[in-house]
Parts: sequence; structure tokens; C-alpha cells
Amino acid sequence: MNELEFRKRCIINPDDPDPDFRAALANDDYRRVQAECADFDEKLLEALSVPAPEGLQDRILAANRRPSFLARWKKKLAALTSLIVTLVLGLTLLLRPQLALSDMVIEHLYHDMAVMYSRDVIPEEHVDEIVQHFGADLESSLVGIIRFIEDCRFADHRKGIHLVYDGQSGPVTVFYIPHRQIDRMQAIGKDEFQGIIFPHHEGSMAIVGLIGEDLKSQKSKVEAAFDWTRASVQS
Amino acid sequence: MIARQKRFELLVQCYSTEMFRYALWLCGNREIAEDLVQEAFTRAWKNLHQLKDGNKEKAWLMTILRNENARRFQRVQPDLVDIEDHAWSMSADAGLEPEEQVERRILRKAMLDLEEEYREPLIMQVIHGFSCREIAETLELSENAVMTRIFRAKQKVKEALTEQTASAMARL
Repeated sequence: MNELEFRKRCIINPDDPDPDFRAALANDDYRRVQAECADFDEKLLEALSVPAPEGLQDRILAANRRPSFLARWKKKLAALTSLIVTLVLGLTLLLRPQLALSDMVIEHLYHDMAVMYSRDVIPEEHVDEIVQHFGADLESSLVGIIRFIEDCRFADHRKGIHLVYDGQSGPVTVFYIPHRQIDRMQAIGKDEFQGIIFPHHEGSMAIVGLIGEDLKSQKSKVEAAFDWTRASVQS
Repeated sequence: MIARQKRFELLVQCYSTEMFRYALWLCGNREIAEDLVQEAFTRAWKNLHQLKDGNKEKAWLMTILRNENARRFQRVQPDLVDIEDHAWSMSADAGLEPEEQVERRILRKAMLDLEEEYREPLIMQVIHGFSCREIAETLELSENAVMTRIFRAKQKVKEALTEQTASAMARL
């Protein structure tokens, strides 16, 4: 390595781990140049290492732990709005005949269509949080990459699990509806979607995929993945 | 939820000071830098589930902070306040010899006088100890481009230090 090249590399990084650079340091003159460059970097670091404002960490943590005054009022307002909406919907519900389970599944599928195309990878902790609320555990490795999971409110305003994972022919949607029972398995479908609803645990489960999806195999996977040995169902 | 909170607290404890320094030398204003760090950590909190690789926490936070800085410029382009006007600068250097105080001020001024394309890789190397390859990945540049920018940046800062030290010392 010639001197020019050495000096240039020394300025860029006096601690360059490259073997040729390290070997060149056997030369006393080169070592002096390296020491000067390292000294300059050190001076620069000291000049730039200014203290952070006092209490910065506490302010960051406080801002991301407790909602602000305004946010708390927004929350209260949202709760009040939600109560009014619930009352209105409750009255509406009383006057409306119950939807067939298959229609409810299709309606919710279309209502939340966007989540089918999510490419997010949902962390295990979030999956556990949702399914454990219904008293289950889910061995997600048995079904595949989970793209979406939430505790959704269906058209009858009661909650169930809405889950989307990668199937063989595209997204596969699973609904667990704890409050609706069904006697035996039935087929459902609309447009490019086909699915099945069948009795599962204390309610019903629906599996919907694109036409061509192997629903039988998906049913086996999903049934194996859900473990209901947890004692209490909190839904 | 508890694990998430603990992880976040650890990130804040480990990196908030470094992130503040990065923000400060990016924007040149202490108040804006603190806002940027606050906003970056709030975004980090919301997107913590996206942080898969525990070895890339710092680079991940820096990317968030850079994006916040870019957003700030989209919203408003404030006049930068000379960093040496602040009292904190004086107090940070209290106890140093007058020559050292002068040298540090020249270095800081020279740093802020650099164009951002030179300043940013230099901050990443000097403050955060990133290798040229890591800087190249974060800034989406080639490694050679990063090396060239760091070389030029250091040359400019050195020139400013040499030129200004003598005249400043004469004034002391």
C-alpha cells in the first residue's frame, strides 16, 4: 500500500481492520499518521458528544405510557359515543331478524376485505393475546404465517376471532364464532370465495379461501392449531 | 404488553442520548432535536413489533429519526439557530482550558457548516461507531460513496480547524 493510499484510508477510518492496512502500521511513519488521525477523530467525538437535555428519557417514557389529558378526554368522549351507538344498535337489533350464520360470515368477510391482503407478520404475543381472551391457545406454526388477527364484532354485534393466514392458494380467513352453534358442516361461497362452517368447541368455525384452496387440509390444520384446554372461556 | 413496555424502556435508556446527538447534529437546533427524538420514539413505540432483529435496534431507530427529520422539512423549513448561541454549549465545555473550548467550538461550527450529505455519514461514524458498510446500508449508498463523503467531510473539518484556530487563539 503506497503512502497516499494509506493516508486516505487512515483519514476515513484510522481503525480500518483491513489486513493490508494493519500490516502497513509496522512502519513507524505510518503509525504516527494513524495516531494523528485517531486523535482527530477523538477530538471530533468529544466536541459532538453534547449532553442530552435533563429528563429526556423520563419525558419519552411518560409520553408513551400514559395518555395525555386531551387523549383521556377523547377516550371518555369515545366511550360515551360508543354507549349511544350501542343503545341505538341494540334497539335496531331487537327489531331485526337474526342473520343466518353463513350470511354473517360472508358479510364480515366482505366488510373487512382489506385485511385479506395484509402482508404484515403478526407477532406471536399479539396472536396469544387475542386467542387467549377466548380461552384458547394457538400453535401458529401449524397454520402458517399469520397476517391478521383481531377480536371482531360480527353483524349480530357479538365478538369472535377473525384470523387471516397464508394458505396454499392465497389468503385463508378463519372466523371463530363462540356464540353461534351449528349442527353439521355446511358449505358457503360467494364470487371467488369458497368456504365451510362447522361446529367447533362451544361455537362454530368458518374457513374461507379462494376457489381452489384445499379446505379439507386447512380444516385439519386449523383444528389442530387451536387448543381449548384452558379452563375458562372469557368471551 | 409488559414485555413490549420493558423492551421499549430499554431502547429509551440505551439510545435516547445517542439519538438526541444524532438529531442535534442533523438539524442544528437543540429544541427541534428534542422534538425529533420524542416523535421518533413515539413512532418506535407504535411500530415496535416490526423490530425483528435485536442487533439492528440502533439502525432501526436512526432510520425512524431520519424519516421524522425529512417530514419536518416537508412541513416547515425553520431557520437554524447557531448552536454556539446556546448556554448549554458553554456549560458543556466548562472546566476545559480556553484553547480546548475554542477548538471544540470550531469543530462544532465546522460540522454544522458541512452539507448534509457529508455531515450525516460523519455523524454516524463518529458518534455511533458505524462501519462504512453499515452507513451505506442505512443511507442506501454504495460503500465507496460513503468512504468518499467521510474523507471529504473530515478534510473540510480539519481545514476549518487549522484556519480558524490560529486567528481564534490570537484573539484570546
